[in-house]
Amino acid sequence: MRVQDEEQVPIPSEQSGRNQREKTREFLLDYSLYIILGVLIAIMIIIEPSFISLRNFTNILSQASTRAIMAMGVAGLIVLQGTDLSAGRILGLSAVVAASLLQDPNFPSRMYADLPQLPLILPFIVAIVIGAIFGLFNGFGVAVLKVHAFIITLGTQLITYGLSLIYIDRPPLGAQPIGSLDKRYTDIVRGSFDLGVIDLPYLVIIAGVIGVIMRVIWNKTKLGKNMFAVGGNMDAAEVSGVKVVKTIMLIFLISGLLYGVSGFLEAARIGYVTSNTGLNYDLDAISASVIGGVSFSGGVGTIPGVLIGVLILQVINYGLTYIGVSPYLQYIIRGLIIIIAVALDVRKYIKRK
Amino acid sequence: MKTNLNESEEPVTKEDSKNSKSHLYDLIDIEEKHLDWFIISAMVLLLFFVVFGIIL
Repeated sequence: MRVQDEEQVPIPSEQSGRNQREKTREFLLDYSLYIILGVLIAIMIIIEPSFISLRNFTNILSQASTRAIMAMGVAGLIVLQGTDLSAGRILGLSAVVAASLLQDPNFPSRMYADLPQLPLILPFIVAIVIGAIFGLFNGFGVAVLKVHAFIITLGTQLITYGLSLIYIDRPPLGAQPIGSLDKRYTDIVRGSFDLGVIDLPYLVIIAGVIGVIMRVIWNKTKLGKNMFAVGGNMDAAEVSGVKVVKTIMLIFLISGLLYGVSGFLEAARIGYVTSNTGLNYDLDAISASVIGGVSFSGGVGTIPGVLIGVLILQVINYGLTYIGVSPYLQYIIRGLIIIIAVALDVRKYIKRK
Repeated sequence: MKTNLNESEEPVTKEDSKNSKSHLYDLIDIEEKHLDWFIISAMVLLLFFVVFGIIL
């Protein structure tokens, strides 16, 4: 009888041990993605100690910059409980058009042989207008027609890809990459400030400035507050007087503008564009946002979180290539990272409920 | 202070938002225990592919 009683009432030390184990397990699961990404980075450094170098650091920052600008746009849509599968293709279309207008005037196989040298601002405006048009199109579908963002942006993804192909695959040159870009254009994007120890690419500064602007929009403006309200609970936001349609449209518009900017910059960063420019960038942006703490359940996220997410993902992508992991396997690894990030987000949501 | 609510409409409470099925994740019907195993399995798979990629 006494034994039975002892079995029913746990000894305090045993119970605290169990609580401790439970807490450790929760901690490990909550932060498992960061732990595993840390392990991956450690593996890369052990295999290739030269991975830690200023040159690699600069390359990673430079590559992450255009992705970060795009990811900030996608993150806003995720905060609204949406997403954007067309972001990469909109970026691609903007890049293709901007690059075609800014080829070196002395290059014999230009897309527009008779086009005079244009001021840089003109193709830039064209690129952001393209982004804005498709951003508004997606926003209209989500806010007014109430189509889920997955569906409307999937459609836009195909439409923009089709437009890229039509634009680029024309006689007499056919679907050749658009290269030999104007030096003024590539110098602005690929240039860097010599800080002595490190060359800080202009791209990083541009991404930083846009990051500050986006942080102000998210945290200090009425639009940002409305975005979090709509993302957290659309019904509650509506009855509180928030103009839901206008908020959603504006956030989609900002996202489109950011895709246009990143498309313009990405073309010059790579030095040429094809119809495949921007392929899968959207998935990277989505996973970077989720890694950075933006929740698919809506109403949660920060700009610094998104930037850290992009950086972590870029370190992984760059590092895997650096240590010689096959690009085919990298797709599988990136896919698994997305699945784990979203599963952890679901787990947090279930716990909160 | 009056709000712009119609009389027939009731304010959205915390309970309502808990019960609403508007979130994408509400469509996912999985026990936490199973989800934990899913996450752990995905991580093991991830490490496997990384090691496989390095060996290859």
